[in-house]
This record gives sequence, structure tokens and C-alpha cells, in this order.
Amino acid sequence: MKAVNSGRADISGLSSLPTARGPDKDHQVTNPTQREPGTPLPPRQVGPKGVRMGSSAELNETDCFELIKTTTVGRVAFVGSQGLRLLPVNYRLVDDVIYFRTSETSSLAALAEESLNVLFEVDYHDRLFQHGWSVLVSGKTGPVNDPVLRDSLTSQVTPWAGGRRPVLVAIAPERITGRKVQVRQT
Amino acid sequence: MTKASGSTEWHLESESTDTDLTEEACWTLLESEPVGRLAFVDDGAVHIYPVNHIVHDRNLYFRTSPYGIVGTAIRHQSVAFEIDSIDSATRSGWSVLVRGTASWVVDSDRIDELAGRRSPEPWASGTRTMYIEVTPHTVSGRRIGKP
Repeated sequence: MKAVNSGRADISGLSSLPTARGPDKDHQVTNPTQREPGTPLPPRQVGPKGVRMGSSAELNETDCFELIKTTTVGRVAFVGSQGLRLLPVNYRLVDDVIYFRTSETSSLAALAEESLNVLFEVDYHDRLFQHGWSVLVSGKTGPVNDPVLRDSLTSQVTPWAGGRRPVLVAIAPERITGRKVQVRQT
Repeated sequence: MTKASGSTEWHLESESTDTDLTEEACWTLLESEPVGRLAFVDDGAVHIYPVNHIVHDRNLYFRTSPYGIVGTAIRHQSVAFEIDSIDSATRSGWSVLVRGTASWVVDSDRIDELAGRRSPEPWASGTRTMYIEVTPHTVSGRRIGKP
């Protein structure tokens, strides 16, 4: 790619260097990533100014727990008698344990009867600014037998869906990971 | 609805509704949301990844890296996919669940079609040159909230 304005060096690839005339005018001429509308997007690599680049960053455990507290709907994935399941639940985090309620007839009820490995996910995404985060918790499930805790949770964890949901399920976290992602214009 | 003694929770629950969505409505919602969650089993463990997806010919597609865990783990296997939209203020929302088979897209015509659709840029970083296709077996959804 050559610069079309004579008498100047080809500045493609040097777009981050400041110029006296401002960065954009020349850049649009030499930017190899300019494309016609409707053409496929180029591979998303580190590139010259104007390319939309995504970024990912890992979150630490403390941040992950804080983020779990900010929302009330998560998704539980597990392999049950009917294969792989992925279901949304209303949950509550109490003393670093995740609790949710379900009905006796739901496939989730099996999680209160036996200790199964599950993956629990919460996330947030902002369409307008194209950023978000997600947190994954792997852990083991079990029932909630302590009557005091049961009463407390029954009033704290209120499913939005109708119907009777008397089965309380606990997920004891064993591993928690998270990341945040963002698209930004460079 | 039997009211539990000493608690008003069942009363609160009985005021909300839980409606199954038609498959047509599910597809409309699948097209309306740019982010979903893909679950699959690899090496005995369940994985979930939020993905930017598109709908094309009643299949789901998303871009990933051929070198990442999604790209390397998925060959031809059962997956579950979920999207939802929730409103904490009104305690209402909807969710759509898809169960199906995921596989790499290797047909070059199909890849051209997908690229021509200007699929949403994944928000995460990295080179995501591979398309994964999810062919649904079951599509179901529900809407919950106050009537």
C-alpha cells in the first residue's frame, strides 16, 4: 500500500505516530483495512487505527464473587438422566454458596437428591458499548436440610416464574473463574 | 395454589405467569439477542461459553478460534444453547433453550454466505476464523412475569 500524496513518506503502519496535520486524514488514504460496505470483515488482528479490536481479561476470585452478587438470574448446566441440560434459575449467594429453588417435577430437582457436578454461569453484556463479563462456577450440588436455613432461603430466593417450587438446591463452589470482554476502536 | 403457613411467598408466586413460547416466537427471540450461552461436554466436564451468535436458515452459528477450547473440543456433538432477557425491576423476562448438534462449518459456500451476512464481531479478543453450526433438535422457550 502506497501513500497517494506525493512528497510524503508512506505512513501506513505508523498510524500511532502523531502528525502535525492530525492523524486521520492521511490515515484514511493509507489504511489497508478500509473496505467497501457489504464486504466480509477482515480477520481481527492487531492492526492499524480504525480496526475494531476485542480484548479479554481474567477476573480474580474476589471480583467474581462480587459480580455474582450483582444479578439474580444464572444458568445451571449439568449432565442428567436426559443428557446435557442448560437451564436459567433465580439464585441467591449466601456465604459464598449459591442457592436456587425449583419444582419437584423439574430436571433440576435431581440436583437436590444427589451430589452432582454442575457448572453455574452468570454474565452481563451491554449491546450499545459492546462490553460484558461472565463468571463460571463449578461445584457440587446438594440439598438444604437445615430448617433455619431453609426458611431463610425460601423467603430470600423467589423464583419469578409461577408455580410451587419447594425444592431448594445448593451449589458449593469448588472453582470460580471469570473474564471481561470489550470491543474498542483503536 | 396452597399457601405456605407463615409465608407470603406462594401468594407472590401465584401472581406471576409462566407461558410457553411457540417455536416461531423462539426463533424471533433468537434473532433478537446477540449473545447466548453454549454448553457442551468435553472430557467428562461441562463447559459454558457466552458467544455472539447469528441465526441463518434456522441454524445457529458463531465464530470461534480453531485453536481455542470451543474450536478444538467441538467435533460433532450434543450441545445446549440458551438465551434470555430479564428485567429485575418487573421480575419478568423470557428464555429460549435450544438442544442440538454442533459441528464445524466446512462447506465453503456456507462460509461465504455467513461472512456476507456481516456476522456480529465477537466481543472477545483473538482470531476467530472458524464457524460452528448448531443444528437444533428441540427449541423451547418461556416467558415469565406478572400478567
